[in-house]
Amino acid sequence: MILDTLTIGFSHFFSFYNIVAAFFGTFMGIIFGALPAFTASMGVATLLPFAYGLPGETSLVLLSSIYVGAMYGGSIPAILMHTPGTPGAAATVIDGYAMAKKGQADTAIVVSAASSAVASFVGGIFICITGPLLSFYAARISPSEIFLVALLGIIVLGNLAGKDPIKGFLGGIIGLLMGTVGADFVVGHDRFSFGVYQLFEGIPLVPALVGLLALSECLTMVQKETEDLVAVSQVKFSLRKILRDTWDTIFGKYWKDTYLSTFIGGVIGIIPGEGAAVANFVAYDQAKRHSRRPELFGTGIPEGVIACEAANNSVVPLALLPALALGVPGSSTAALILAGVMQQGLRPGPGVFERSPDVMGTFLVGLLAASWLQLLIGLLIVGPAVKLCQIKNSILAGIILVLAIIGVFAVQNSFFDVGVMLACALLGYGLKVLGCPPVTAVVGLVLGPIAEKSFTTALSVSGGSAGIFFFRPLAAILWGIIILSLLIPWLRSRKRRI
Amino acid sequence: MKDWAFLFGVVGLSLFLTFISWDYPFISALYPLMLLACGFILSGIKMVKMLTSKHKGKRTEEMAEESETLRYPRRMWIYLGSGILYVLLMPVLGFLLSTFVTLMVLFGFFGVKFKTTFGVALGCTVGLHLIFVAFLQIPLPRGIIENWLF
Repeated sequence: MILDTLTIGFSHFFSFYNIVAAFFGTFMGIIFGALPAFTASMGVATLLPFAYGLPGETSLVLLSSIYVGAMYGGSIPAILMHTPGTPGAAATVIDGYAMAKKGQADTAIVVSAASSAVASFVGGIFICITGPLLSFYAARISPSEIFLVALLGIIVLGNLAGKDPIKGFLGGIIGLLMGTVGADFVVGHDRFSFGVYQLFEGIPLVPALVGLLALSECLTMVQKETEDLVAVSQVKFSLRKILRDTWDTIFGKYWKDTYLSTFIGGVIGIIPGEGAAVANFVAYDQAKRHSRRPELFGTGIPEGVIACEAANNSVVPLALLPALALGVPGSSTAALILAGVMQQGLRPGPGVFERSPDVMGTFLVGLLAASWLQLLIGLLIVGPAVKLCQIKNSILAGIILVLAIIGVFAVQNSFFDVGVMLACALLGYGLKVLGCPPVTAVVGLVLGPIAEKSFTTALSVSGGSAGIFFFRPLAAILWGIIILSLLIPWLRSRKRRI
Repeated sequence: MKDWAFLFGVVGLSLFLTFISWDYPFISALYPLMLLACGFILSGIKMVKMLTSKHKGKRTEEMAEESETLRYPRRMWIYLGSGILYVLLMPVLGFLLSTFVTLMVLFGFFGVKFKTTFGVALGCTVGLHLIFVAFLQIPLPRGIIENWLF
């Protein structure tokens, strides 16, 4: 089954559109990642309408390449400007910037790109093996358990609210309620559409996601003062040095750091809600503990950069694994990619590798290709990326506004969709101002239809008995995990107080 | 204060939606009502927690930390207004002219230098036209310029 998927994937991937999508996605991902005010999820949200016009497999290659590229892109300003491009590159600043100040910016960039490439590639290989298997076995679970898995996704991602998980859960409920707008699954009764016929099929997903994530962020961005960022040194590469540093990172003297951090990042990535921001600090700490020269960490050594970059990049494929195989996103960006896939009429979740082996195979091969493309493109565009970082936020926000409006309009040639996007931007901004990350509502909105459909199907199967959600072995295990997920943040906050 | 505003917002919304969904058939209303019940319960827990919180001093510190300095609060409305202006202008002026005008107006309000504004507005308009119309072949609203050029 694994080999079948990969074989189909290889035969489908090598088409003009897919290769261009992988190049363009990685390029745009690096650019979005390098811009300090932008994140991977903003990049995916902004380009989501573009993906809509493409075939299913090409759109999945495009979106996942953006995600892969953005993780590496975050390290460019972290190394050269002491400002992480994404939260996932926060720890890269420590040794990366110190290396740049010592005049080793080129080495820092190369080891960052090489370790990022290896980590995404190894993570990609891992999901090539486990994805089809997980999806196959998950297809055997009942609707009641699918509902519990969706519930688990909302609960663990509710923890994204950080200090206040209750707000995160409430944000998730707002998203789930948004998902109930329109005709219901069973009798087709119209709900919460207030006579607006365009809402009869539900709130359009792409406009809502672009508004909630990309435009709401721009609304905050335009109000802030832009810092003037200056690169600490110019980067000039020589081919010999690139090859030597790449060799050292992958097979040479730093190989242990690369693969240990890849493993750590992968483990963290598979836990929904624990993203690259956590992974890079944990990996940095572990690399320091296992190093023969821990005292040099923080003074500018390649091992410090490798640890962070390998960890944050291995999060990417592993966060996509539960999203595609189970329908439960492991991160906010994975939730957006999931939405993009659903917009294409595909049904991610249990059995997806059997239902759509061509799309999933192409996606897997695309992910592996994007891993190495980021090494190539990542080194070529360091200079332009640094220049882009110096552009004022207000200009970038203006460009995003026009891009988002045209992109969303183009999906269905509908100005109503643009209105939904602007309304969702205000909602997202309001949530953010009130201390609830809009991403929780995004996850709720994406998972809402899956959760409702499985909930009503399970109730129909059981003849209205709620026992179906409790008295099955897998359901009991899932309830155990749900209760643990609810207790862990509470225990953490208690420990912090003590 | 922010927490209270958020909770009152959630409770208000939940009450409104509960009232509306009261007349729905049972099977259609069951799932939303379940969500609304969860919303009420969580809001209640949060309210009780806030009322019984013994760490008021700490909370004030946290709130002070949270309130970032937003140097240009009016820009948000200018930004949204530009979005609405763009949507209103597009069917009348067409895609090319409305994009150019909107970006010129927006950057003008943001105080960006004229040269930069002009360059970015022009580049962005041409770039988007190339991507959407030439490459993706998506028809966008036509206006004076489109009719004259194409």
